[in-house]
Amino acid sequence: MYCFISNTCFNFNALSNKMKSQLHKYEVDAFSPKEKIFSILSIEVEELPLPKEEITYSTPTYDIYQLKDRLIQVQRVNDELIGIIEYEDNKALIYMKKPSFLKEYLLMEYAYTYFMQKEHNAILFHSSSIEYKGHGIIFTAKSGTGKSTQASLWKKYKDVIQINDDKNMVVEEDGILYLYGNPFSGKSCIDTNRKTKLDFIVFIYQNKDNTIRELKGKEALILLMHQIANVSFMMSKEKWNYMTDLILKVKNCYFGCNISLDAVNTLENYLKENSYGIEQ
Amino acid sequence: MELNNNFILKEVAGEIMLVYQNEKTVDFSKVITLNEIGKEIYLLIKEGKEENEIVSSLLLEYEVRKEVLKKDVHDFIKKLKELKIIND
Repeated sequence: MYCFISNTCFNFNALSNKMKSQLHKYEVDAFSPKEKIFSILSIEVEELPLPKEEITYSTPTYDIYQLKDRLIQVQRVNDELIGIIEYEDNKALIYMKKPSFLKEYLLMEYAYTYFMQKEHNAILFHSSSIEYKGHGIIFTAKSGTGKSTQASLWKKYKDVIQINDDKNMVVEEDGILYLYGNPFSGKSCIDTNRKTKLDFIVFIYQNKDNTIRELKGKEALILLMHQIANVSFMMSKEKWNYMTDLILKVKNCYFGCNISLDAVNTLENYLKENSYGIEQ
Repeated sequence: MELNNNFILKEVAGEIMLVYQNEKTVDFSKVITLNEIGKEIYLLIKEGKEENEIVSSLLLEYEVRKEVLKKDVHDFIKKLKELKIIND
């Protein structure tokens, strides 16, 4: 299935129906022959093809084998081996023993992120995003805080488009950061095939009353670091630094919020007061 | 003195920080904030300056007694060594 996601051409072969329907939102008929296409192909196997070579390095969730012509990622979830991704040039092969949507989703998300971060100045940002009056706004916090809840409140009370409910691809183009919808939007599967300028980052935490202030320096950096892709085999130190420097220049606030219309209004007023180009 | 090149200098909204990272990860627990003078000393070390050269260089810039500055620079460098920002 040909998909055009975040200004990039992909050829997917998904096995699970739910993954197929997610990808379907980004489907195109064909690409022109001169386009560079990244292939991400799922394969069901009897036995996972574990590499015989030495592990190059391990993290708590995956092992990396850097071989001469390809790179192999052996992926675990809670110590259970769930699949293998083999990257070679513009192709990623995903091997799964018993394919499921959850396994396929996770592995495809890795492969998509790998090609995006390799090909562009891009970084995956754990966040729920909306477009409001042409402005891209990101809600971010650790899981369970209420990113999606805030985005859905805005959806309920204001005229917004939800771009991606869980993982936003932030891409730099001519010095400007954009948010791209992509099929990896978490439990809700709320995402739109759309691009919008990243204008505002809202770091949220739960609070009885709605309270808001600007975040500075170290506070912002540390909160941000926990929610963006880290330096890894798919992100160089240099690119990470470049992207985080740009992201930290985006206007932000630290928002203690509850689940109410008042939360939406508090943030909306803050955006207006700080003249972010959002008119009445 | 040799700096540990796994620390990178980051400036965010006027705040100056050192962040630990290697080829595989960024360590979120190791973010160190520096003040302006701290940054200046750090950059002088990066240029390859020794402790006494750093003191002389800062003396030209700041109105401070040499003994005070000497001690401050020494303590700061000691701290950087403890934090492994300067390789021993």
